[in-house]
Amino acid sequence: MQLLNRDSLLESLHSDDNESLFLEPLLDESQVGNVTIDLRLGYDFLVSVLTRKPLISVADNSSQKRGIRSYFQETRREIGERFVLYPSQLVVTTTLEYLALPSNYYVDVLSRSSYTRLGIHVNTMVQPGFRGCIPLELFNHGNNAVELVVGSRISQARFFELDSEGKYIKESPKRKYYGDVRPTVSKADMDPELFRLS
Amino acid sequence: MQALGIDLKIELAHISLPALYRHKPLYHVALYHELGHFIDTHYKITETTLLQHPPPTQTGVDPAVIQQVELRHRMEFFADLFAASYTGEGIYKFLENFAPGQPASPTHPATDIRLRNINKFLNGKANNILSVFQAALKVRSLPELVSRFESLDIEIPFAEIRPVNIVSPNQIHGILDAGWTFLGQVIGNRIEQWKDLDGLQAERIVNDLIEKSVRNWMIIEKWNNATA
Repeated sequence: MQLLNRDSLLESLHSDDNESLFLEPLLDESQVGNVTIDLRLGYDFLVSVLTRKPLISVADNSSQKRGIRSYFQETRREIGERFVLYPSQLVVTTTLEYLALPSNYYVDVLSRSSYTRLGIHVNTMVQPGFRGCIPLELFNHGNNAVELVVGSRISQARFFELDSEGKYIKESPKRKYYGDVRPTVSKADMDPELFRLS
Repeated sequence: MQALGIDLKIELAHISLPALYRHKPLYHVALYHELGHFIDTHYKITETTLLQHPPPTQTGVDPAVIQQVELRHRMEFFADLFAASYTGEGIYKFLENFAPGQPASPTHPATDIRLRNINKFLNGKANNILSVFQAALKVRSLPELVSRFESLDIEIPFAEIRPVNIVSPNQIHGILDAGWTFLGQVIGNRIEQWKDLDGLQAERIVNDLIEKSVRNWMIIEKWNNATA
């Protein structure tokens, strides 16, 4: 497994090959750093809200089951607009960029240091062959609300080239988050082991 | 708006679509049809056609009823052609899938006739109702019904499950025409890379790729027009 540097990343981004790296819109090539690419905050948000239910159950098969989506409120901003992330608040969003990952690339997405210092942590992994806007689960660990700007460089991605290829969709045709262009709530309740364990 | 002290220089049109379709742009072709109704009503285009080409009378049928049914049917024809001028095959395939084989009613003509009119318009063939509308548009000094979208090739990027790079506003309309064609290819199992996806997944992803393609164009426009 090899960490890709700026030259390799740019070469792959500029390639017309179907098995090259695709990241659009790449608004500024300076987003590509020595060993990372900065990724921007997207425009759709799912905000965790309090409900009358005491908990989210991922293994409730009863008729009283309440969908996980109902614990989140959807909101949208335009690029350049503000979004306030309050302390201890969970918000699911995505990167502004759409990523099509070659079948021999693996990606780690982390918050940029400037945002980690504000109490916002991002930690996401992206499987080879992934297609979609990368999901970002934002959480404010600080004591102050933070005003974010849609389109700002909030996270950074490290790209690794693997020795072998992974066929993202062929290995698991029921991939839960394939091709998503907006945030999607957890589909943990669809994990097959829960049916066996119940 | 006057009550709120807002002086609008433009006329507002409120068109609604079920929330279910808000992230499914392929079905937004219906909005072009509804916008066609607004244009028609605003400029009294169909009403003009009734003056220029009144419907024939029928023995035993109230002329007012004939006039009303003809008005309604022509309004639908106009809205269809208006939508086709922006979405091409999009409105044809939408109608074909959502109202197949529907017979004529007092408010809507039969789907088959509507499809035939759209098809003739898109293929540049002679079409009576189109001629009637073009004459009315000319009398009212309005632009003709012509194709107003720019085609774009989405097959290569979409086959790889990537958004397409839109480069002009007219391609935003054109992607709906191309999108319906591509969806047909996917459902017909003709795109190798999509064969492992089930129908619902494929339909969602085609819609999402269209939405993201349009969004990317909007983002790039705004970014390029912003002053640092």
